[in-house]
Amino acid sequence: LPQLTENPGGFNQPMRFEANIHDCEVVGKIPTDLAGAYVRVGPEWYFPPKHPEDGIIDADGYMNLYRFKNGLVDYKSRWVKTPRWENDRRAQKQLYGNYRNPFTDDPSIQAQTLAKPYLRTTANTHTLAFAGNLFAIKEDSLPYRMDPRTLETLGPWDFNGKYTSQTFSAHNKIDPLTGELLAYGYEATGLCSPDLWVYTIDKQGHVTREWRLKVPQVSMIHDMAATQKHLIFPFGPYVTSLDWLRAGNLHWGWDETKPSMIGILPRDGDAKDVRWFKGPTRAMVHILNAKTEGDTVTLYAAFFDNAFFPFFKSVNGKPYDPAGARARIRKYTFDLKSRKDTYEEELLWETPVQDIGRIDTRYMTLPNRYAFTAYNDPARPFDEKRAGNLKGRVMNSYCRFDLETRKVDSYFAGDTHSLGESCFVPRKGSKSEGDGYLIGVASNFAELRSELVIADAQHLGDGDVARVMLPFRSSGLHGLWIGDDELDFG
Amino acid sequence: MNDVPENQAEVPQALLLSRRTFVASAATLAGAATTALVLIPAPCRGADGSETRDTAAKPTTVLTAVVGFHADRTYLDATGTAEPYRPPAGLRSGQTLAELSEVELLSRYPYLF
Repeated sequence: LPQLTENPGGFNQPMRFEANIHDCEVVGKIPTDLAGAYVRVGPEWYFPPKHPEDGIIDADGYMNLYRFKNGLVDYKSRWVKTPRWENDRRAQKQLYGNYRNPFTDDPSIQAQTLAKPYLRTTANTHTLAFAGNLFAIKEDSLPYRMDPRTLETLGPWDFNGKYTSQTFSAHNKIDPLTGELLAYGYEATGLCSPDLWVYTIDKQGHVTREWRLKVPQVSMIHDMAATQKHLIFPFGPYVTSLDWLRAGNLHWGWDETKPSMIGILPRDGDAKDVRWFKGPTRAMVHILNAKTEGDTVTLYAAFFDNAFFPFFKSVNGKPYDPAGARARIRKYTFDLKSRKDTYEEELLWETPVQDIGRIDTRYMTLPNRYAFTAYNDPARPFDEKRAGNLKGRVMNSYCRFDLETRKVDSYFAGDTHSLGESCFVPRKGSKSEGDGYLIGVASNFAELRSELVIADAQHLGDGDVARVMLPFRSSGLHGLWIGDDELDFG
Repeated sequence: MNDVPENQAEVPQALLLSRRTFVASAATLAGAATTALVLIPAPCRGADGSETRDTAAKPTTVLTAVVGFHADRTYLDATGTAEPYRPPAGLRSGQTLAELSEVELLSRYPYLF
């Protein structure tokens, strides 16, 4: 594996700065009904990792915000100033060891991080706007509140003291019918604990329900799904234990002998009502949506064929196979009438896609048709002379995939570009699914800068509605569109 | 708390000029003035100093240079089209990634963000 402590240069070289840009360069015309902000969070090393085998997902949290107002776009970026970031700054070096493993930390802080592993968080994964707050989130701690006007870090938030899990997942769901937040934390009572605590939180930020579940195996539960009737928790063979951590490994190991498991909890039931279903080995990381119709639960997700992250080693010493790191859109069907603990899996599209797909979130928990995600369209050109020889390895297109008809509509970002996660933004006043804009950030390898692309989600083939050009690379992983009616961005 | 002074809270839409629009407008006006000066044909004079050409000849139409932007900095776009500047040779900033094996690439940048 590569030595992360070496800087490879080129497009992803470390940024080492925070930025403000007033009135970004725009090509095209920003639709005036885009009023709010596109907020992204991602990992960005402030200091190099302590150990060369660490993973990029252990880097410091970095939030960037594209503010849309009156047809103009301003840009702002800040590190999430967690206790870890502050301690590193004081020490002028990386004190924290491998991903979610306090046994590898510097002795100066290790007693604290072993006792309170949530203080190791980098809050580097996703964002959330809820109950008037803006958050930066990573699944190993409580969410960190950020000031939406300045992006300064305000600190961890426990939802008025009633959210008692030590952790809060980076991917939660907001029920569009009730406005409540459906949230959870795994390893809820400490490192490697089998505790999965699940919550509903009302629009004012008060916890209204808590379920305390025990999982059959301690695994990465990175995302959840929700329907109007059920909460769904998929996880695969990424496993951990205290012995594994004491040996100095990153938090997760891949155990191909373990099944994939999916827990289904009735929203009107108790913890004892959860059912665990087993299926073929998959790396289950991100989810599109789910629905309950009668006694049938259907889940849509682009899960990987096999292990995805090379830095999470096989616990059995098997070599990593990049051929398995292929995410494809699948449909999972659960028959709740049956006593069987298995489910049906159906591959909906052969083409590999970026597993971080999105939907029109007004249809979260409800039946829906469209999934949006990035993929590589090999029929599109790539200018190797200007961008470097990345042909075939870039996500050059966004698709709108029809989950019913399997029809694909496609947007092409350009012949020197690769696209990050997409985000659907409803058109003002619209109600029908998919009526709005698809936005996302593209890496332009020919000009070493990031470009925020805006397309009409119903006419992706028409290309850009507008494109916001940054004068540098902007890192980010997951993002959300947050309207002016949700937060005060100033 | 609203920190916008009351008399500035309501700005008419027409006054919300962007920096790009403002600079480009100013440059276009300045360019137009320059063009007007340049394109007024100087009278040709004979050896005896008498004018030999019709000074009322019409100037030909030319595109005016405008201010363009690249990497958030201004430059004089002589084409007058205000198309975004593209470095002709490209920066090939993906080449260091291209040289990584599939495993190395996925290790460093699982999502190529």
